[in-house]
Amino acid sequence: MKINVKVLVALAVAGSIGLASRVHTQQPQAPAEIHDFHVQGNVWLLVGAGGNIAVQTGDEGVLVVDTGLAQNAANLLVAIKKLSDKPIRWIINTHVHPDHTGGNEALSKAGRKTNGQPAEILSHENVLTRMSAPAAGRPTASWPTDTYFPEEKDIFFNGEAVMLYHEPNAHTDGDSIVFFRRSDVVVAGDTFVTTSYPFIDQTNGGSIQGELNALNRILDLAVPAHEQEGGTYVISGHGRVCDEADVLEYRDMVTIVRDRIQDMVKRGLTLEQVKAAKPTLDYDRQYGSTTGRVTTASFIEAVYKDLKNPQGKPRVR
Amino acid sequence: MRAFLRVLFSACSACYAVIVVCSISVRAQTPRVSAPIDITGYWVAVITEDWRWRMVTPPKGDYASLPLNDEGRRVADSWNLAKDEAAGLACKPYGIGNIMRMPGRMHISWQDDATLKVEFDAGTQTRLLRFGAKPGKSGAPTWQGYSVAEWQLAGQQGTVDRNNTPNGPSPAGAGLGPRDPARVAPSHGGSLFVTTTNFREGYLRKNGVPYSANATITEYFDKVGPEPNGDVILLVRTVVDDPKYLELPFITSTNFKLEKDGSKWNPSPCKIDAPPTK
Repeated sequence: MKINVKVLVALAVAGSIGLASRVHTQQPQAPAEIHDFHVQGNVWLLVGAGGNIAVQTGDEGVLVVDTGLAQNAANLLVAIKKLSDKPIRWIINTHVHPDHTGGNEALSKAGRKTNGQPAEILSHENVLTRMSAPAAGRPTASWPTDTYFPEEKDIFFNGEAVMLYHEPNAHTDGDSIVFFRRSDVVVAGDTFVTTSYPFIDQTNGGSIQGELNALNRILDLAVPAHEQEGGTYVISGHGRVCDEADVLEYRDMVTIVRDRIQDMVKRGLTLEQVKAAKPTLDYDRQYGSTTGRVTTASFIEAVYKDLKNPQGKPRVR
Repeated sequence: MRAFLRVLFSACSACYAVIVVCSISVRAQTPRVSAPIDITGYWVAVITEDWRWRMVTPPKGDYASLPLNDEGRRVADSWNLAKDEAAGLACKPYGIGNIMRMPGRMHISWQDDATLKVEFDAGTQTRLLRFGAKPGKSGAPTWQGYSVAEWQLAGQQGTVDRNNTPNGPSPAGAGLGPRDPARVAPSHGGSLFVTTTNFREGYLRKNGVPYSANATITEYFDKVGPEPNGDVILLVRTVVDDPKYLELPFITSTNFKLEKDGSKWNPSPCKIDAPPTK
């Protein structure tokens, strides 16, 4: 894919920082520096606030996909202001995690709908269900204000269709893949990251089969340009901007590892035996880790547990 | 006398049996016999990514997506095709750092029980992957360097697959099933791990993007399939670590498809076409 190498390195570093700060408790930390990168069309990427953030700008206002960690909201608003002086009209959450929804309240209050109310926060209904659970401890003002429950949802904003596709039981049970149809940019949320193995969050309804379904959905949406490069760009949840070939390699990796573990599960191996057999061996250099939120061991364990008691189902086409 | 002959015959039989058992045992331990996957055959590069950097010579200074440092960019910006050709360095893009990315065909065969020979028709290059060898620094560096190989199992090898079919001598790797994610392949993952040293400085791309002779190059070879359409794929993941010219490791994943025979094998000498003029 065509991308300036300095930007690539900066994004990789920023992505790593984002991953390292991928905490699921609201710990106060120093606000992070936020970098912007024009993806294509009306869509920009903001990096450094937590998970990756996509911003669509135009005459009607600003649409923001994900809002980073709460402590970075002030800097995030400054970064958005650099891209557009129009008000934030829409906020879309790709999933429930605080590194993607922490800035909801601040951004919503800073924005406004045409009736003067705070900007709409849109997500799949499972995101609201989990954020509003008493145990989640999330402030009411950060909850989604508008949800959808079918497989798809669409809105038209700034002269282009914005499609939301729900991917059940993927990274979580409330993942939305967001497709800016005219700009030709897909926002994957954490169904696709370039910095680690996938995070299958089983406590929030994630599953390996759903994860593969989500990656296959992205492949269905993405179309490469001339000579198989560029075309549709995919904003990962953490890490760099990619094109279809990058997602394809990642999907293949997840499938191969899933197959290996599935084989061992079928042969009755225990989790410890599966880990000892190193089913991710040849991918560890690229995606493996022994520290952080997603380690090699935690990924293997998540896949193993899911295959022992499958949650996701193959999508019927 | 008859008793002596009987004893002699028995002794000889015992010795013969021991020799046979030993030879079978030794043979069973060779890398060739213990190979978890069979990667021999003719393979053609499947170029579905980086087409404009692999199929043609990109313009000078086109190093997009490569994690070059300042020195790497400086050297890439100073590339001079005529100078390379005059110096007899047309094989620089065909060296170990880029040979797997070249369009063309690859023929893999066993040279002996402990050495895989990998031939390329692009540039007429040959690599030897030596099992049980130690990294070599002796001798003059070559374009393909000195490669040490070992089998590594990614996932535990069983005696039967998940369909209770006994594993054959050449099990395929895990399957992809791109549009059938529920499908699982009938065998296990196995990888060929290769580390290469003692090579000449070369190019990561045909347009003079450098890698140094002190780089470390590691590879994993995995076999995948057969896919629903019958394709058998060889995945080669290459990691180039080169602090002299790179900010980060340069990782590529290259796909090859198995061909039924060598009828399309077409060796050609090292040659760098001039980049297209704008």
